[in-house]
Amino acid sequence: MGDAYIYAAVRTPRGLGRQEGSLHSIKPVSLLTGLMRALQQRHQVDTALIDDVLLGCLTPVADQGANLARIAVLAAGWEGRTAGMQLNRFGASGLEAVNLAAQKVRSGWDELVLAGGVESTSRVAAGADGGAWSLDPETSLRTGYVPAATSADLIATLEGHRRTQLDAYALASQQRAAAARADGRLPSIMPVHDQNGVLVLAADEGLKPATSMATLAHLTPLADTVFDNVVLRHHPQLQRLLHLHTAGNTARPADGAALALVGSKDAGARLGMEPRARILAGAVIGGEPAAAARKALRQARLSVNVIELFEVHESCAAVVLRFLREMDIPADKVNVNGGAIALGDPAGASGCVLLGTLLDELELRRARYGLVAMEAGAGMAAATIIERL
Amino acid sequence: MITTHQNGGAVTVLLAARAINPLSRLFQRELATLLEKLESRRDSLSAVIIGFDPGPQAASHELEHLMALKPAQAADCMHMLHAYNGLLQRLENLGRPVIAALSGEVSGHAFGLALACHQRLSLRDTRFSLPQVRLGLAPVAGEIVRTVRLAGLQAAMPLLLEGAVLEAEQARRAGLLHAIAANDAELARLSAAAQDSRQRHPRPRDTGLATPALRALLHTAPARLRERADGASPAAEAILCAMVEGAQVDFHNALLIESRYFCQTAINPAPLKSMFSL
Repeated sequence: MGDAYIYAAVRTPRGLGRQEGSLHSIKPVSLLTGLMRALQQRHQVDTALIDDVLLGCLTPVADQGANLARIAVLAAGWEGRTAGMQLNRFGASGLEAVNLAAQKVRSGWDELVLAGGVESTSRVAAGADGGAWSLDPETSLRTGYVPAATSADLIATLEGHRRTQLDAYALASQQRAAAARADGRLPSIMPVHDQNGVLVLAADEGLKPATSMATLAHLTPLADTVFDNVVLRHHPQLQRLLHLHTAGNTARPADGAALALVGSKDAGARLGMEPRARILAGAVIGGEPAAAARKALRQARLSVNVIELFEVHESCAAVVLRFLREMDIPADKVNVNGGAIALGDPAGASGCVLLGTLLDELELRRARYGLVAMEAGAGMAAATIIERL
Repeated sequence: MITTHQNGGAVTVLLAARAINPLSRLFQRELATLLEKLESRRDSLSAVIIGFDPGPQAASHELEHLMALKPAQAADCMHMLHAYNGLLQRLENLGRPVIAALSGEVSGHAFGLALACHQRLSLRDTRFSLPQVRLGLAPVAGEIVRTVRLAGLQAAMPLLLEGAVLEAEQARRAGLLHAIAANDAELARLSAAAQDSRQRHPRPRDTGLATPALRALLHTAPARLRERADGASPAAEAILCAMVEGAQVDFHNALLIESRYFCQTAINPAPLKSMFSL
């Protein structure tokens, strides 16, 4: 069985996931085709060698519907023989796309796969695809559906987090993101241009470098208290649910796309490209991010201690703090350039964004092993381990 | 190019139709001066009545500026259009009724300026058109955005994609004209009566693209366009894109999208086809 390598990883800047955001006027398909062309031009990729495009998307309807992966291949003017598939692993879709690409390459059935994701939250709101989980009463009642904000508060309550702990984590995310930008440590961002070449967005939008504990303390909780009873019924040991998560310590909706070129050794030789990293393991599980990370570590036969850098998706502060406790790892190895709390969460793309961010930082530090872990909706999680080459 | 007359509480503004050009700094300055004047007198103003002076020949309004657009100038062009759209929005937000009293041929950017007024009234023999597609260009300055929002995607298609000329009655039925007057005296009377109406920029007539009828329309629209143009028609295609994409976002983003497609057609002007003779 051959190895799967990462040859390139690029992303768009993240735009505010609102009507006022700079990327709202850019269609999801254009976000993708722009990034695909930028990748092609940066590395002079012979796109005829790409077997498949796997694209994560959390809300694949309307602008994002009907297998945008294959349509983007055609719209980018690439060879028609490159196939395309859209996939939905909820919030971990972008990471799942990379893991699946690695599986395809390791199986030998495909040589070169472009994987990543896209989400224009400002154009297609989360939940626009309906679904039994939240909208079918029987399913909602049977599964104890609660929205993400309530779920975040449940984790914080079970962990015994205080609001100041969560806000302090959010502040660190903002500070790290601001420092990374000040140092110019974001080599994988490809600016977005309109069809006439006019720059639309060059850097992640909506950072709040002026954030302080005081500004965070002013924010009101996000969760709708109507769901408290659902949580308490499923967790009878809890007296009450604490409402600790706000817009300040939770991932901010964003627009953006990310892509990683995953291939075999031979595919790299044909492309004339050197691999940047080897994908050692990719795991998905019904469980929390730590469970996915442990599963991936077992696959890779690695101890958590050898992992030098982690990207743990900041869906909310409590998830990251719980991951630190569960894995017993130091905070200074995790999300060193900030995360979705500061930089935004283009849901379907985020997993691939984290992978690219991790790889950039591994290269910068000349470190070897890195791990991405993220939670996904309905109690799932995914993880990926890479080895920088 | 812009003259004003006080008429009781109302101000009558007469614009030379041929001088109206979103990409002319001179015209933008004149329009800005007019707006400053109107805004400073807002408290004593009951209404603004806008009319157009057709001038000697009404056809080739904007070509001199546009033929010169190079790809590197796209960013400047976007800035100019942003500024011009801002001026029209100042007119919309004046806080006093702005009424377009129209007659003769109301075409191109003059029609575009009228579309930014709160009310459009005209004589029966007035004719309306946005002929830019026939010059290989997309309409701009809100002409696509406002037309689609006022008339709906389907009704706006002949006007925008073919450069069709609408009679006053057709324009009224499409939602682009509020009332038709039999003669100048009635037009003046209607203008006076319309003074209480106020309305910000138009809201979309089509709510999303989710209705089966709209889906069916959009499903076939690109193919119909190619069929009618007997091949590629870059301007019409860009206009269709701006119409549909603009209908899916808010007014301001729709203007941005419209401006980009205008620049696209101005940078890559299609060779004028003989069938599109003026």
